[in-house]
Amino acid sequence: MLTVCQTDVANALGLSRNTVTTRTRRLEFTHAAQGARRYRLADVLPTIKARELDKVPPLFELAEDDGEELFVGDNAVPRARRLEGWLRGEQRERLFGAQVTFTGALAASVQSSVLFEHHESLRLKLALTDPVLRWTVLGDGDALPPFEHWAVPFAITNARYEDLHEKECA
Amino acid sequence: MMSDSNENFRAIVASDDKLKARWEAVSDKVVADAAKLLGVTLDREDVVALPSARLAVLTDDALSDDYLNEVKDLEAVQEHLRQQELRAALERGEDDALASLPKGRAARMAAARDLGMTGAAPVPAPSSVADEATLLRRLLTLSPAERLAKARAWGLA
Repeated sequence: MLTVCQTDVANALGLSRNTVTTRTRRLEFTHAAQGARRYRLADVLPTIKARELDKVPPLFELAEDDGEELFVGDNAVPRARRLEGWLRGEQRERLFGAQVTFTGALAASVQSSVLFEHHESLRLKLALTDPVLRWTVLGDGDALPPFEHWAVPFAITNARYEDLHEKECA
Repeated sequence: MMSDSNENFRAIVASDDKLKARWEAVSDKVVADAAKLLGVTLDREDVVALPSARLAVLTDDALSDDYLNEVKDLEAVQEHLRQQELRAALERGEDDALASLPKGRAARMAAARDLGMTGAAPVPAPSSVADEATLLRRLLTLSPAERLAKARAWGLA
């Protein structure tokens, strides 16, 4: 998954370190070399204000791949909802298209209903993966995965029982 | 001379419908047994060369018990059996077998591929909905990092 550190965010958006620290305060992070905190780009995007949207593509360019291809991480449903809430018109439509394609590919690939028990949360988590994130946010059609081969590995890796109705802590 | 007698045999069989039927029955049995018991693929041409098969077609006697040994004596089959043995020895990890392969990594890998050692046999996808459901449920009890490798091993992804 794509990750960024606070310096990347400060540089791409032209913000002070203090502002970035405040904005990323509640986000999950991992420690990279030299103790720098690395945040998932999909978590950082919702902290970006409307007037800064033109700085989003440069932030994608600064982001680094942490090597994880499929697993979107823990606590994924509220994170995915936060991201969805941040998306705008065209982006929402692109995400919806990816979700429909994913559902079709999954249905064509499995016979049993086991993975479909998790369909609602999988559909949400889709936006947290790099290929779907690039397509949704940037409109990068080349980023889209071959869903017919990708849907099952993604679903198997991320299927788990999630509380879809929990209230997000403010 | 061998091919002459084969020609005669073919001519005799072709002239008589009853013999033709016997020939088809006998050759089918030999081809099927060779595939099942020895793991070799024969065609009808190979069967013509077997004395006991020819005898069984032309007389009323049943196929003699020797015919499998005759199959093993066929040149093409011998080569095949040698390869099978070598492969089995390699899979057991015997040093002698390894030493009989050519030197050099690339040459060795090519030789092993010629022996049909091309990695694990592909896993068939689960055939029934119930099987797939059971495997998937078991898969979902594993940690996310372990799931994909297992899913591939079980033919699910």
